[in-house]
Amino acid sequence: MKPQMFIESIEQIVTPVRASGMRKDRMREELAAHLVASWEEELERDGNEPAAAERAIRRLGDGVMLSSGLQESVPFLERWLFTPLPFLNCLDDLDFALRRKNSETPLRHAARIAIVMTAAIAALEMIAVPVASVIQARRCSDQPTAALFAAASLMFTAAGGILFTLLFEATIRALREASWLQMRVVVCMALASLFVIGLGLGFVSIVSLGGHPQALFAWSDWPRLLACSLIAPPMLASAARDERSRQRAQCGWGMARALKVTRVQG
Amino acid sequence: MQRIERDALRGHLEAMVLASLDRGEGHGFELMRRLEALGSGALTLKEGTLYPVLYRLEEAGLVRGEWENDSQGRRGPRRRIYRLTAKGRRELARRREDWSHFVAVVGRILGAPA
Repeated sequence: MKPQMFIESIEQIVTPVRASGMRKDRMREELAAHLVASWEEELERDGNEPAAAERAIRRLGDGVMLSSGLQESVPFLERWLFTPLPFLNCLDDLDFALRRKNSETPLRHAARIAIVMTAAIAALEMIAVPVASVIQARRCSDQPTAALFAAASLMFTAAGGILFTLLFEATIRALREASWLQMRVVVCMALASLFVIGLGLGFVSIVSLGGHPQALFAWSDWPRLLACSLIAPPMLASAARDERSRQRAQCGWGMARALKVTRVQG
Repeated sequence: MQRIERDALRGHLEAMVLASLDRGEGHGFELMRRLEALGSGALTLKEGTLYPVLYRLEEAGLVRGEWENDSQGRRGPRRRIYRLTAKGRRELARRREDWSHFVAVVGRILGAPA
């Protein structure tokens, strides 16, 4: 039996719930495990797979009531934080566009991401560089020109985009086989974080050209910048977790295998 | 046998789940079976209603849930195993006391013909 019927029922129940992705994934996987167990029990009655699936779904209860029950179990603050806002749909669309497509190889995906990132940075620099150049000219600074930094940052972004995407992909692959504390996962995460930090600092360098007459940053700026950059590892870890969770959901949390095994054993 | 439907259970389901977990840890499906067995077939629950209750209890720190280990060789979605916490045990004791008091008082009233 194909798990699509179960996945659709689960989505009907969980999608309307206003909660974090992590909480909703947990709801989805628990309901999936429950439906598989109910289906196995129902199948023993008459051996009719589609009928057993229908009965298993019916046993779960009314979808709307379940959604509202699940919603009530979400803390108020989280409910409020995850209330859908119209403009946030754009972020979902962007996320969807940047995801690796099923037919795409990791290298091709990395190249696509690098092109998008470079184009985005180039667009930002088209605004930042003229401003920085004007400030520089006014201060008669002898620092390298903003245009030179801009060109260097574009090359760094292009190379970094490819390497970062491949490292992120490697982190997710490693996560599939190991826990967060395994050396492979930690190394991939650390390297990917370094690229993100490097890209961030590089861009900050460009936009702050002309900020100080003798240096790009005063020494006192660096601890602050590095402290800000510490946000990169947890953000990447969260993104990797979300991606892994999305991949698990995409294959129905292994429901297809479970349903197949039951049929073979039956 | 007269069946007890969901509406009649409103307000008691949390205590019943705590009581069911008092008999040992278990995942959602297992707890549902346990409740049905304890209700001797008189309980009619829509199975999905158990999960919001479990989430509320977990949020309140009365139960603790952990994903079962992937390496247990089971195929398919992981199950979340719930167990009672110390706070949950205390809450269950309090609810049992409340229930005994309720049954004693209401029982006296309903049981006494005019």
